[in-house]
Amino acid sequence: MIPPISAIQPFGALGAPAAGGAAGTAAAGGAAAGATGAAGGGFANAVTDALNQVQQVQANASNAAVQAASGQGNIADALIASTQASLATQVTTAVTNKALAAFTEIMNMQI
Amino acid sequence: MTLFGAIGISGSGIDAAQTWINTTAGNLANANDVVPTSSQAYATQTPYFAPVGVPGQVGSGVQVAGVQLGSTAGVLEYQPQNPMADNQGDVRAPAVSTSAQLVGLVQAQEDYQANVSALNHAKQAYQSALTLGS
Repeated sequence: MIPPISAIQPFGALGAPAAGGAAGTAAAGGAAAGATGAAGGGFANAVTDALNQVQQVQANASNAAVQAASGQGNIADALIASTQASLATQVTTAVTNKALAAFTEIMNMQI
Repeated sequence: MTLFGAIGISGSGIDAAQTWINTTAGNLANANDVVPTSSQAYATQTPYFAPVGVPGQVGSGVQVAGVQLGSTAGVLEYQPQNPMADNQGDVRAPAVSTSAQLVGLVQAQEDYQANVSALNHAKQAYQSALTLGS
C-alpha cells in the first residue's frame, strides 16, 4: 500500500535544506517529521527581519521628508533617505521574489 | 546604513558642500555692511572640512570640522554722508572679497554636484546588482 503523503511543512522550514524536505516527503511519511523541528531561524524570519528593517528605513525617510517640508531639515537628506528606503525595498522584494520562485519550482515538481 | 555605504558617504559630502554654500551666501549678503568705527565689522566665514574616521584607514565620509572666522577689523571707508560715520567721516566695512567668494561659490556648487553625481552612480550600481541572475 502507498503511504499517505505527509502534511506540507510550515514556511519556516524553507530556509533549512529545502531539498531535504522534498526528499522526506517522497520517502516514508515518518521522515518528514524530523525536518519540521528545524523551524525557527528560517526563511520566514529572514523575510520578517528584512521587512522590519525596510519599515525602519521608510520611517526615517518619511521623518526626513516631514522635516524638510516644514523647513527644519535638509532637502538633500530627505531625498537621500528616500533613496535608501527605495533601494532597501527593492532589495527585499528581489530576494523574496527569488526565494518564492524557488519555492514554487519545488512545489511544481512531479513526484 | 552600511548596506548602502556609498550613499551615506556622498550624503556627508553633500552636507559639507551645503555648509560651504551657506557660509558663502552669508559672506556675500554681508559684503556691503557698514558699522561705526567703534564697532567690530562682519567676520568672513570659511568652513574647513575633515575626513570622518581614523586617518590612514578607510573613511566614511567628510564632515565640517569648523567654521573659521576672519578678522573683525575690516577696512575703513570714507563715507562722510553716512549717519554712522565718525568725526573723520570713516565707517568700518567688512573685508569680504566678493570675487573670491564668487569663485568659492562656483567650487562649492561643483562639489555639491559631484557628490550628487557619485550618489546617483552608486544607486545605479546597486540597482544593477538587483538584476543579477534575472
